[in-house]
Amino acid sequence: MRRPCREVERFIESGAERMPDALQAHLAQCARCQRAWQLETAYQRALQATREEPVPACDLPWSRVQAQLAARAVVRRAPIWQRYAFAGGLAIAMLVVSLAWLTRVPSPTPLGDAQPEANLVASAPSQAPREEPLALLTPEPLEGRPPAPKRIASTQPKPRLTRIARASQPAAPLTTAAPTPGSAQPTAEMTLHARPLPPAHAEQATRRLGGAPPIPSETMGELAFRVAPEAEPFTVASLPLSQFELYNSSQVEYLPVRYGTLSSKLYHNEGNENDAIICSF
Amino acid sequence: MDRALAMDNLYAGAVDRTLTDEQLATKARAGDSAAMEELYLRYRQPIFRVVYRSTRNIDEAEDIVQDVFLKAFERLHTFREQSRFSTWLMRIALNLCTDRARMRQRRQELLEREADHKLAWSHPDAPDPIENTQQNAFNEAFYTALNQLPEHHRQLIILRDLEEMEYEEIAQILGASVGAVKLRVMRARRAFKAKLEPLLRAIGELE
Repeated sequence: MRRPCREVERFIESGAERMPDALQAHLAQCARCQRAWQLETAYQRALQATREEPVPACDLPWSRVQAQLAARAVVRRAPIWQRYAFAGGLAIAMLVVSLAWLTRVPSPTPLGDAQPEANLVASAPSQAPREEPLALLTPEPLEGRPPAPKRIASTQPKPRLTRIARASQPAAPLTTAAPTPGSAQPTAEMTLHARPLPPAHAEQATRRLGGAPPIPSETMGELAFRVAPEAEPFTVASLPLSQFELYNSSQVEYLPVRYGTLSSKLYHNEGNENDAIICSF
Repeated sequence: MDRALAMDNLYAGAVDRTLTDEQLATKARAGDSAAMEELYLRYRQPIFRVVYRSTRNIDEAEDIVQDVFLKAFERLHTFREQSRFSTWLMRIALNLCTDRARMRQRRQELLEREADHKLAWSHPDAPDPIENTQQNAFNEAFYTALNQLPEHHRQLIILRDLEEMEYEEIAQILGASVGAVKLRVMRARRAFKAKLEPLLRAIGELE
């Protein structure tokens, strides 16, 4: 942009009325400045016309504003007891909800840090009660289970069975799944509530396994549930966590046990706080 | 309309009309209804003028005026008397105009989206083709261009070019320096002229 054009632009923006002669001479020669000047004059004409356009008078009476003010003042001046009642009600509702939540969901039973499996093997086998084979603790659902941290609500009223603990029977020696004593594989312990398996379920379990006898716990591959020397009805099992790609016991949370699927007839849910399932989180 | 004004003038005799705005504001803050009424009668029309220029709709402008005074009287305790009462009132009015403009725009966008942009013809800011006679074509072009501007530009054009307020007063209303206001007005005029030029050409006011 040339200097005179810039001066014309500045003159237009300043809103001054009389253009200097030098700029007028430039205006006669420059088409761009002529266009800008024409637009400015048209703008001024439009402004003038709009200013002269009558604006209607405001028809809003004071009484209307006054009534609105009074109405708002009434709303604002709500009795103080209402505010306290509202706050109190809210607090009580929150308290009730939190109490209900705390009493409904049992806190997971911490079993402490997982011990090396070798320790359990050393202390458990001789006097641990032995029970019937683990027909329902097959590793199938566990193997397919991703180590997702899902909390399972123990809403089932009656926990059903996993194994029967009989203190009178001697525990079978645990051999196959026992790790070598030197390996410090982290494990988790879980306590299972033992209940008798109903006969119908035992039959279903047998059928499901193709007529074969239920798998004994020590032949369950890497999922070796070890019977701890607990008296009936509790047994303690230890579970290698490497199965779930967990190598640190602090990554473990204990939740109620559920195994099988809803579609399968062997669905079991141990809704007891003595039961646990291992998840990573 | 005249009756309402007459009634207002009849009842507005309970307060000394020679009191300044600030004195009236002090009385109104103490709950003096007559002082509030006097302030309302003093500034109802000036506020309405600005708001009407912005909305071009009498009902909407009256609603905004009512909201302005309700808000002002409810928040009189926040008026610090560092600026004039009229300035403070005008600031409230402009803020409410901005809020309304935003709401209107959002509502219009929503309507257009719902109708898959088939309602563009019914935009309230668009000039009515029947009324768009040669006589008021100039004004319509002006307001059409004005309504195409963003709200902050539109307010500056209204305050400075239509209401012919001083830069100092506008600066007080907007809470900005005079220099900043001059710059903003210059930018607003540029944007306005860019919108106005094709409209003026369309009605033959520009070659």
